[in-house]
Amino acid sequence: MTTKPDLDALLAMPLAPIADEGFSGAVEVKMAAQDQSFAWFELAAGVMVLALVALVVPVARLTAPFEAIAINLALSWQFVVACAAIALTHAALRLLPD
Amino acid sequence: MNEAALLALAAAGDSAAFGALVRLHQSPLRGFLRRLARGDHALADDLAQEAFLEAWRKIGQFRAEGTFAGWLARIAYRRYLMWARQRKLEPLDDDAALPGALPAADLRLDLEKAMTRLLLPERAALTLCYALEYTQEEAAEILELPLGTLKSHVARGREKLRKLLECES
Repeated sequence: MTTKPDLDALLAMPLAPIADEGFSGAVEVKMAAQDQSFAWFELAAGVMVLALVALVVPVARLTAPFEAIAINLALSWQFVVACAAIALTHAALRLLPD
Repeated sequence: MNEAALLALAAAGDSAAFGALVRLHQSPLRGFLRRLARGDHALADDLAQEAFLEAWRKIGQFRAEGTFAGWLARIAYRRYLMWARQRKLEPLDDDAALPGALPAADLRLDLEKAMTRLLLPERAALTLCYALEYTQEEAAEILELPLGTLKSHVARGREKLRKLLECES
């Protein structure tokens, strides 16, 4: 070597600047693709979870109590009288002049 | 718009703000990776792209205690390490015998050539501490090394470079 440069000064030389030349644009395109694939993944995962829940959960057993309540209410004379009173009051309010 | 504002927007999911951050940081990050990849520009750019995509996915995890550039450099270094380990390309603890001094040409070219003969943590430590002006503490954090280990990588790397370049220290 003809010159004996200071090693620290040589090492401290900043890295040569690199022109963008479409690099950032390519990253942004891939970001959008990545976001889209995540959205699809989330949707697919949601559908899968729902399908699994529907397969595993005994839907008939879950709805059975509600069916029983509905039948009991329909057979209860107190409930029928209350409904009739509400219907009559409503009709009377509509028919009577202000 | 300053970097803090861009970071806040990006953390809220604004991809245009993150794009602006990519434009701000692409040059030093690609330069750092080119050093790590021993001048392989295509590999460095692929890894830089992957690092930015990972940063976009994890932007919510970025804590403002360190710098965004440092956080990016850490992601990029991990990406390079993974790539190198998969291909068993980088001896990490082998103190390989150095060949004779390089012939003089252009100082920057000499330095780049000499850098390729160093071990990965030495290249990374020297680049971070000198060319990218991180403190040794910051560089240790980026490379996930104890401070003492980083200092010894810097010292060993400098010594090897001095021999290779026949510089005055």
